[in-house]
Amino acid sequence: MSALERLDRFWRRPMPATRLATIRLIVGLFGAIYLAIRTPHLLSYALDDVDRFRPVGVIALGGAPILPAVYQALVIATVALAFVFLAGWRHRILAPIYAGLLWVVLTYSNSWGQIMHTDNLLLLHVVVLALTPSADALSMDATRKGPPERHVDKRYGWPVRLLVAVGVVPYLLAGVAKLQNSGFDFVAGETLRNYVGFDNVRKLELGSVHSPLGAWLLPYPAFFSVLAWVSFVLELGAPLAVFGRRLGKLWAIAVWGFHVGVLALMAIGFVYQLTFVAFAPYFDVEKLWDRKPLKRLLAKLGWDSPGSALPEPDAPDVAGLDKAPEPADDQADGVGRVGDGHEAAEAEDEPDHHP
Amino acid sequence: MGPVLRALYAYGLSLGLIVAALSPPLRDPPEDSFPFSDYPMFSHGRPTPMLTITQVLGVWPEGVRKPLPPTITSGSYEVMQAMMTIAIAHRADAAGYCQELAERVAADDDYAEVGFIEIATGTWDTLAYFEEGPEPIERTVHHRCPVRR
Repeated sequence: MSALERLDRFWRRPMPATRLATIRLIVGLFGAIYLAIRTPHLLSYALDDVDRFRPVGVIALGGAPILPAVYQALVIATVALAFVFLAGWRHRILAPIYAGLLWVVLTYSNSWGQIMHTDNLLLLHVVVLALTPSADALSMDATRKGPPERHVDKRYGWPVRLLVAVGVVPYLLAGVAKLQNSGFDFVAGETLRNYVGFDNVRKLELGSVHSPLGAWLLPYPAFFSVLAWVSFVLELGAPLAVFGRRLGKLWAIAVWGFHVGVLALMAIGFVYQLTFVAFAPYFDVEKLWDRKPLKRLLAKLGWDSPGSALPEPDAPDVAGLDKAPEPADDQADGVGRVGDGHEAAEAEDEPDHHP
Repeated sequence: MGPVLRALYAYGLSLGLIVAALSPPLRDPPEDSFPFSDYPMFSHGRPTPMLTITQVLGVWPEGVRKPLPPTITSGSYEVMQAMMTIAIAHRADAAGYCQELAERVAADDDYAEVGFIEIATGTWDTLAYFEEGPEPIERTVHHRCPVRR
């Protein structure tokens, strides 16, 4: 088998439609609540102050602030479409519009002198989910159209890979930036401790809240040196999370702990990561529906009918992974006989499935 | 969509997003933008604990000075946004910005006793800050304006 074929089998490995759909529901629910709560904050950028305007990204293409009324309308439309995205209604048309609006609104809110890095991953995950068939199950579209032709298919696998890949890039780049800008001084010296002190005093002197725990730990430089090593290893080792599911899960849990530490020591909250939503793609999240309360919820939504939601374990297209661990390549679009998705995910832990 | 087109779409979108996400540090100069960034925060060496920032202070009776929060200084809850707003606005038009702040403070009952606004740059030893107290090593007041009610 050529390297390209191995890469293709890795990247487009069949996965269950319900995994991608469950990630859409988790990310979509987070996005809808987050945007609804932050609507006043987003609307506060309806400014026409040219002096403070520092456009970045797509907003820099325009060069001037958006008319406040137009921006306010964009924010309202984005929040409304967040709920449509969550419901999975007219996904192929409305989800890309939602992703586009979210891109514009979040970029605009970052165009006033300070770029925040808290929403980058949420936006990239929404973009991936909006441009892939993440509403083929567990959605209003699925209820209307009926089940996908195949519950386990290549087209539901690569979006999950991509969600993981775009999720590790920021950490890798943060590690590379540390290496480029301060080398091993970051871990060998007192850089991290100074940053914690610096950031906490800065917050206090700008009238905001700080971390008393971070301030209390400042007299212990060895503690910060250990933390610096941990963050360095997690960041530079991030790409490994793409290539092994067990490693990916461990990495996701460790990075979640890293964000808890950042919150505790510096009062910096990456909400998307702290709620663990950012790490949903690393796990077999479709198994959540095995839990009774969620099954009842599906029933209430009418999403548990054979025509819309979970694959039947005995269905012809989902049986027999244990007998056929390698998906057959001779079927249309390479859709093989694979398991119900749970088994497919577990099989990915086998190292010979990786390029 | 046929299998070939599906494969092209999968690899086109995957490569496009991954390359875009990886590209900021490869630009000259490296670019911190949104949503693609080179993530430069907390990456530069910081061998000393010294901090110098420009801030907005409310002056209470008896001369007590306290930093005013981001909701006053930038109209937002984001502290980093507030820092940049203060830096940009004070360079562009310190008097006008100070007056704007004075009006916001005058309209807020929580700051009923604030008599003056000061835009100042201070320097602190951030390790000593929590052990010895928050007084700056030095502070330069750039602009001061009264709060009229």
